[in-house]
Amino acid sequence: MNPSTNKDKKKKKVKRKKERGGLGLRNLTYYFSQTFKSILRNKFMSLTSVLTVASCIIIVIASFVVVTNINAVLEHWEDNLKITVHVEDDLTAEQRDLLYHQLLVADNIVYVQYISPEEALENLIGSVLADAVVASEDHQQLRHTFEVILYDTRALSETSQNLSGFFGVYTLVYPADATEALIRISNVVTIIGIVVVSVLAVLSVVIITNTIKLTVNSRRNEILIMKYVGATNWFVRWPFVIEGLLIGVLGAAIPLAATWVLYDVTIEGIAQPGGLMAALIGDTTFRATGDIFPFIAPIIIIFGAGIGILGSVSSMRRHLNV
Amino acid sequence: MIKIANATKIYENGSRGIQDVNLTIEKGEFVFVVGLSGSGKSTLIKILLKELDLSEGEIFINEENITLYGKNQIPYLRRKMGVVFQDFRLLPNKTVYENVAFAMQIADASSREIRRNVPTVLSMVGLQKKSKAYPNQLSGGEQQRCALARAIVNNPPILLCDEPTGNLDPDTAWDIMNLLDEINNRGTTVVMATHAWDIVDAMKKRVISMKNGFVVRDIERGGYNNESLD
Repeated sequence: MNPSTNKDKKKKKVKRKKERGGLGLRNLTYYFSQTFKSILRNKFMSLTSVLTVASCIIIVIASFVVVTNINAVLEHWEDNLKITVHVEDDLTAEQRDLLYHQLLVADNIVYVQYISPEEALENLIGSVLADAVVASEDHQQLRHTFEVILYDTRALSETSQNLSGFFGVYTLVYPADATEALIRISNVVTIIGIVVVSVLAVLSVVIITNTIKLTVNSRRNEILIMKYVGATNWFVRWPFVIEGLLIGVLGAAIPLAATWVLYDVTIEGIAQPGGLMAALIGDTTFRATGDIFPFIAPIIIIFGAGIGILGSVSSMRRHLNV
Repeated sequence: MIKIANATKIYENGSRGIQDVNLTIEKGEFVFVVGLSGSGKSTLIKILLKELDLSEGEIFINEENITLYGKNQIPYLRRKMGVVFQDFRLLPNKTVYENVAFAMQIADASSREIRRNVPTVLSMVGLQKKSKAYPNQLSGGEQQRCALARAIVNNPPILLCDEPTGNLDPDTAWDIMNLLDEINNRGTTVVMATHAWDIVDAMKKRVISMKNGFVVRDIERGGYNNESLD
């Protein structure tokens, strides 16, 4: 290759680098020192921006946590849904065994448990029904049954239809209406959750961008002067971008840490089985802290950083056109 | 050094900033641009700074057609031109030293160059003892001297001044003019838009008179009212 071409390419590369404002050590030191000076100088505006970001993000996190937990409760209920398969009276032990194995390999079945009439009675002891059954001295009305747990509760009707065709099945008992209602609620909650979190996220972007716009507007003269003296757009922009990034990250980290700790304390204290929540609304499963926060933490931090940078860059565009 | 050919600037509202201007300014010249408000003096300075684009015509600086410059090239053009405004335009949160050093930082100067050049320039404009002061702690004249120091610290071949004495009392204005003359004597081309007739008359430099955007007179060693002082 022609050496002069290489030289030209190198020159162009250096020129392009300079046009971007340059990220050499000398410039980086300048950008960071300017950023910190600016944050300290505009303490009130910086604090306002951080608090605005934090307020918006705390609402986003809280909505996400609430929706996630509603879904967790619904999933928990769904997971406990069973189909009770009542077996024909005249089935032999071998035929019951065959039915058991057929159920085990049937579609959408995760678990099958055989329950003898005696076990069924034992399970009933203490309940209102038990006395009636014992009094009737007709233990036969308690059939041999299989309790079946499904992989996917949403396929309940298809699965039950399939099972009812098996040889030896007398009837199937399952809370059809309750399951359908539960599925409907679960779908609605998921949609509402997505809409609420998305709307809040968009609102946060608008509010935060406007707050950062105020900060940038208050310094438009500074930007104008920099441009007159010969600053490239990126030379002007970098300290603002770093400032936006810091404000965004700080504004995201504070509510994240606060909600993380608060949720952990809440879950540990009152929402575990046997805790206050369990006593109030029954034994139910809330999402563990470790299932939510390590997953959302990077997303929230990147979200904060992103809107911080976006806010700065978009607010500056107008002022850079000098 | 500067060649303006058939330059016209029509603003978006239809008003004409300059019309069919043809000028050549040689290296090392000191040129006054005079005229009433709205005559096109400031438009001329803004066009040289590429703050405004021409509607028609071309401008060459050192034989480079700056009319063709893209946005990315404008900062580098401005580094070749110092600029001084009537309202000083100093960064209020930077000290005198920082305001001047800033122009060097932008031009990618090393810390050593900054430490060497800034005190020299501050001493030239008589602000060496005020280097730690902020603009609001300075008088108008001192602020303009600081702006002048910032404008010349990168040793630009061209210095553009838009009414640099407009906000100053007569004595201070003369201090600034003496500095500008000194800078010009060192080889810098100075283009100064002004209303200050006494200064123009006393300096006996080239005077370009503008009216309604047109150059109506261009006199070597002229006076404010356009007569030749020779």
